[in-house]
Amino acid sequence: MNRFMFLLVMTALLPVSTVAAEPGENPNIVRWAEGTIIYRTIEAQRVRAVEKYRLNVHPDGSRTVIGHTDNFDAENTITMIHRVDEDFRPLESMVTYWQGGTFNGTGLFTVRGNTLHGVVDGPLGRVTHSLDVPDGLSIVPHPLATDSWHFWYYDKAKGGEQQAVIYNPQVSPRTGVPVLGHLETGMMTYEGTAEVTVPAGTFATEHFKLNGVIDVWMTGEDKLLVRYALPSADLEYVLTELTQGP
Amino acid sequence: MKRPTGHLLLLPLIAFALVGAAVAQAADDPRNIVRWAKGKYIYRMASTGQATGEEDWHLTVHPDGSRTMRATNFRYAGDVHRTVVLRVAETFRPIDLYAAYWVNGAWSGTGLFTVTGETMRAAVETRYGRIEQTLTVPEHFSFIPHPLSTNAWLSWYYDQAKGGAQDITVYDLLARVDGPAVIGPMYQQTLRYMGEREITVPAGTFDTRHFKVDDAVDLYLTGEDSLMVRFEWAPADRIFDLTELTQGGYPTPPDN
Repeated sequence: MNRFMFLLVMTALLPVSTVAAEPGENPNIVRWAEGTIIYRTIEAQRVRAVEKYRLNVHPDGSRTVIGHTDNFDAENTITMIHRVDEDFRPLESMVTYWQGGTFNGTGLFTVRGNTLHGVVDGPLGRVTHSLDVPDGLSIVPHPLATDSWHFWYYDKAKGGEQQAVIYNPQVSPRTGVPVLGHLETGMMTYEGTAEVTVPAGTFATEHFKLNGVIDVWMTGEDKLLVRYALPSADLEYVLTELTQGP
Repeated sequence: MKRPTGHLLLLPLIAFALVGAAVAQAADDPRNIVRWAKGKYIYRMASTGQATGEEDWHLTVHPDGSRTMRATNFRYAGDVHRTVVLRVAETFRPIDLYAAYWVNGAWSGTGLFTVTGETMRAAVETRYGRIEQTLTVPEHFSFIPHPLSTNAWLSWYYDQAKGGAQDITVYDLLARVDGPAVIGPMYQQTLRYMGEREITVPAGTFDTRHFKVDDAVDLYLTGEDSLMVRFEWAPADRIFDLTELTQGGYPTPPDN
C-alpha cells in the first residue's frame, strides 16, 4: 500500500471535524423509534411473521427506516432501508428479498425530482430502469412499517376518494424481473381519527383506507403504523412494541 | 423514460403472501436464514478508554452460505453516521453493498455496489449528483464500508499455508465532506497472519485469528463467520471491542 493510500484510509477513520459529540448524542439523528410489528390472522390470531424496524429522523426532516421482516408463513425474508423527505416523499429505498430459501435480488430505488432510478441485481443479472414519477408518490418496499406513508399527499380539505401512485418492487419472479418494480395506481380515502389499542398500547390515530379494502391506522408526526388490516383476507398487522427517544 | 401507466393498485400484501407460498415449493428447504448473530462494538481511545463511537450489527447466514451483514455506526468525533448492508458469498467475496452516510448532521450519499464476476458497478447519489461507476475488480478483493463488522471480511483469501505478508485489494468507501461521498478508491494493503490468540472483551472470551493490516491495524476474528472481536489501531490510539454478542439458529415465529 502506498503512502497516499495509507493516509487516505487512515483519514477515513479519523474525525472529519475536531468537535466531538458526547456519547449518545448523534447530531445526524434528532429522534428515533424502534418497533415490532406482528403479522397475524384476525380470527385465530395466528402469528405469521415478525417485523422489526428502527426509524431515524434526521436534522433536515428526512426519515430513514431500517427494517427486517421474517415471514414464516410466506417463507420470505426482507431487509429494507427506506428514506423519505420531511414531507414523506420517497428519496431512496433499498431492499433485499429472499423467498423459500432462494435469493431473489437486491434493489436500490432513488427518486430525484420527477425521476425514479431503479438498480436491481439478482439471479437474472443486473437490470436498471428510469421512470418519470409524479410529485405524489410512495414506494412499497413490503415491510409494513413504511406502509403508513402512502397517504402523505392526501388532501384532507378536499376529502373523498383520491388517487395514489405507488412504486411496487416485485417480490415474485413470476411477474418479471424480481425486485424491479412498476408504478401502480389506487384510491385512498381518509376515514377520520380513531383511538386504537394494540399490544404496544393505545394510540390516537388517523385512519385511511386503500382501495376500499385495506385499513391503515397511523400515529404521530412520524406517521408510525399502529394497525394495518385486510379483513377480507383475515389478515392484520399490529404494533406490538414501540420505544422512542429524542 | 417511461410515463407511469395506470393500473389498479395490486394488494401488495395478498400478492406477497401468495407468491411466497408458490415460490417456496421450488426449494428443497424453504428457510432463508440458517443462523444469525447480532452484536455491538464500542470504539475507544486505547490510552484513556474514552469512548469515540459505537456500532450495532445484525448478521444473517443463508442456505447457500451467503451472508448479509446489516450495520450502523456512529463516530462521535466528526459526527459520521453510516448505515450499511453488505452481502458476501459463502467464500466472503462481496456480492453487493448498500451504504448511506451522514456527516455533521447532513446526508452525504447513498449507493448500491454490485459485483458480478470481474465487474463492480456502483450507482451512488451524492450531494454533487448521481455517479455511476464501473470497475474491473480482481477475484480477490473486499469492501471497506467502515462499520467494523463489515470491515472484518478482508482476510477471506489470505493463504495461511503460505503465510507471511500478502497483498490484499480493497475498495474503500469515503465519508468525505469536500467531494462526492460513499464512492471511493480501490487500492492494495498488506495482510499478515499472526496466529491464534484468545482475546477477552466485554462480550466474552473468544478464540481468534489475529491478522495485521499494513503493520498498523490488528484484527482479531472468530468463528466460521469471521466476526470481528477486536480492532486495534495503535498508531491512532484506537481500540474497538465487541461488547455484546447474541447468536442463534433458524428464526422461528413466536408462540401463538
